[in-house]
Amino acid sequence: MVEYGAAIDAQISQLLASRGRVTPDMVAGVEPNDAAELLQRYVEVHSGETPLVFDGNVLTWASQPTGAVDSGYQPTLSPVDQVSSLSRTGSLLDSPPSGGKVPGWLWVAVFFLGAPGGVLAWFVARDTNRQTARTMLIAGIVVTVISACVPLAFLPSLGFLGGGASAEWPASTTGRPTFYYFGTPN
Amino acid sequence: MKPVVDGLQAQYQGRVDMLVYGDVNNDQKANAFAAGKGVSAVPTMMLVSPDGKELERWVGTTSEEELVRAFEAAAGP
Repeated sequence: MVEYGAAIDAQISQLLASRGRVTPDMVAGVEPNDAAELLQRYVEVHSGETPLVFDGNVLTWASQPTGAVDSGYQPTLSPVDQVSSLSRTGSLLDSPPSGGKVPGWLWVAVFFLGAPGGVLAWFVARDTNRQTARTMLIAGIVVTVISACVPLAFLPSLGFLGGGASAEWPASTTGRPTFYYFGTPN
Repeated sequence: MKPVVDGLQAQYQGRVDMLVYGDVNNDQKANAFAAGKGVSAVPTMMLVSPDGKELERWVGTTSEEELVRAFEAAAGP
């Protein structure tokens, strides 16, 4: 048997204030049978202050219709529950950072280092300005792609990939292979 | 290199057609033709199959044996 004390009283008061109703199983650290007795004791102690009703199973305010629990009545949410049950739409603190000033040297890193610079800039700027950080990352990737494509476009004219060695030659009219010599008299 | 080519020209007459531009530095037409074929140094030699496919290209001097081997492979028996 648990002794009714200040701790139990405070716990029940808090539950009643926050939930609007208290059942024995809601009392922490106490067996339900003992909790029922404690709730009954709570009603006796506080009967002079607040009109309370305990039907053996539920402790609630006396203003709540008697028998409401048995009929499936659910009390309205307490102020605490009403706040905690609100759907979160996100506060300004939760929203991603935007509009912050990003150091100019990050753009230099993006254009000189390409994708690695873009990743670096994204890491540095993402907490300051997420939109700019994303733009820097994309710009870095684009710079890398362009810097890779430009030399590839010139390779054939430089003689790589067979571009210089595979000149167009006329077919032989004699059906024989042709030997070309470009040289000097010596 | 030119004497070697002259010798091969005689040796493979009738089996390999020879187009010899022996003074490409002073022959403007030969120079333009060589530039169109991607020649950037002399001597440069090419062996082209009857259907116009470039089989071999030598830039700089090469041995007569190397040329003979290519000629034999291209001209056949």
